[in-house]
Amino acid sequence: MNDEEYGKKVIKEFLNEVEMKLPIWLKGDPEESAKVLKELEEHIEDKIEALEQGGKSRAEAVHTAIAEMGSPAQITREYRRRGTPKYYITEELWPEYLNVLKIAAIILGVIVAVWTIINTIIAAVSVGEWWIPILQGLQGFVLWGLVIVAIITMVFVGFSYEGLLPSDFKKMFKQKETARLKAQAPPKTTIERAKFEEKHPYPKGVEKRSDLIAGGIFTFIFAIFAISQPFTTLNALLNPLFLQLILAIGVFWLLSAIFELIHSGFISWSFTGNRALYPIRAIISLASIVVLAQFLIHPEIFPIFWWSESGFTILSIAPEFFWIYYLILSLGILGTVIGAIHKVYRAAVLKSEEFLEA
Amino acid sequence: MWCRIMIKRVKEFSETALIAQNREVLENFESDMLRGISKLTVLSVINGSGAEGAYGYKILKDLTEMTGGILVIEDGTLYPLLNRLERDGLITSHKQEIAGRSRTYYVMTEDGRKVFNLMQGFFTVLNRAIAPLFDISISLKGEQYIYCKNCSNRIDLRDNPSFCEMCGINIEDLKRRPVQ
Repeated sequence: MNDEEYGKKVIKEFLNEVEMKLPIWLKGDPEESAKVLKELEEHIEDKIEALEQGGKSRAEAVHTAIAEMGSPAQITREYRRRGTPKYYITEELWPEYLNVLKIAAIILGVIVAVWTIINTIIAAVSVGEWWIPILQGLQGFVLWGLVIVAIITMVFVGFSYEGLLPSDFKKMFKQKETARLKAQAPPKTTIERAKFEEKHPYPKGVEKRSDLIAGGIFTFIFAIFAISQPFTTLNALLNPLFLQLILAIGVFWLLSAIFELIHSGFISWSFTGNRALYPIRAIISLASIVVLAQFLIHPEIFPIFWWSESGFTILSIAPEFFWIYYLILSLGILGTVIGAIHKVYRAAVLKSEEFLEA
Repeated sequence: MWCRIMIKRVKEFSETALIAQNREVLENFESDMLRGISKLTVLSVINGSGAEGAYGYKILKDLTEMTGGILVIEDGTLYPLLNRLERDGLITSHKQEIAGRSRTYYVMTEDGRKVFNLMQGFFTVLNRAIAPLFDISISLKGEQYIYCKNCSNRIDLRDNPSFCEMCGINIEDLKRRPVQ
């Protein structure tokens, strides 16, 4: 490697490190971040030229020029210095922070209200102590409210530290929307279509990213309900084994949701990512059959909600109807097995040349 | 904005020296002072470079030479400052290729020139006001400029202005009531 190539390598390494440490608002604006890096590169080259004219060798000049730039952390820290300080959240982000808190409070209020109403009705028709769920609802609103306020505050403190301004979010959204509209523009002719597909290849045999994200979010919500079992009044009326199995299936749903969401990040470009994640998701599906089998063994624990003249009761399935239960559950297990096999098949038939990264 | 000289050299002093013992206080003081001054001096160099503008390396070189090496801004921190000034609309940038080398040139905008006049007016008036506290005296070029009593804007009398372009006060009125 000659002096020229060595110099280029050192400069490139320095600029790569700066790029990695750039704040989010710059990373989200590829044009602006490219401009920032280009400016730094031009400056280093000017400096090297001046140092060489002063009698330094190329290698010495490169090292001195880089050293005098300051550290990448120091440079990028200056780019984070945006916004007017107000507590730990900048004045510019403060109105957005309050808006998010208001929306979160409304959503939490609605969820807790629905939860309280359902629990109050169950309590009123079963044990008669209808006021207990109301107290629990208020307690839940305060506790979850504190947790949500803490999380939102931490996120906004992070945004302020990164120097993000409200205009950056609008800009990032606009860029993504423009890219999306561009990608969605329907090709008019066969030739245009071929060109479009050449520019925007989507590997064959893999799921759509949007399907994975939507599936992951829904599974996550179901998992949270299955694990937290929030209807406490109802829980007291159910078979403890049924609740334990629901908890176990919730854990599998949670794992499944997490891996679906991780997979959505790799689905369109990483061959290795797809090869690894499809089998992992298949294993999680197959493992959940252990829990489904427990449901199959114990049909008597499955609750049937019943309303009669004597009031609200929870019954077990009558033995003469067990076959319906077995049939539905067996179909569920069969579907899970087929789903798992399909995932492994998808992984097996992938072609590395269709992916950006092998 | 950081400076490589003055208090930043505090780490070169003996650990037992009083200056080293007060390192954090002094470094913070210097950092606070230089932040505003750097913005003003960088704008001054860009303003002085006229319509052609100046590129980053030249701005730093000119600053170092003009201040006799006292004010030295670290290379990497100049660009975040230029970026902020451009986002604030005080300067604009354009690419220019000279002898196969691409450079980004920074030029003062019309709004930037007006804001810079106010900044340097405020800085001058402030310096003159606090000078007695440090037993120094500052003389202003009174015949060429007047300083707006309303907003501290520096007004060049050679342009024969009727009003302060920043706050709109009548210049004749200002001349009768010079800044104290």
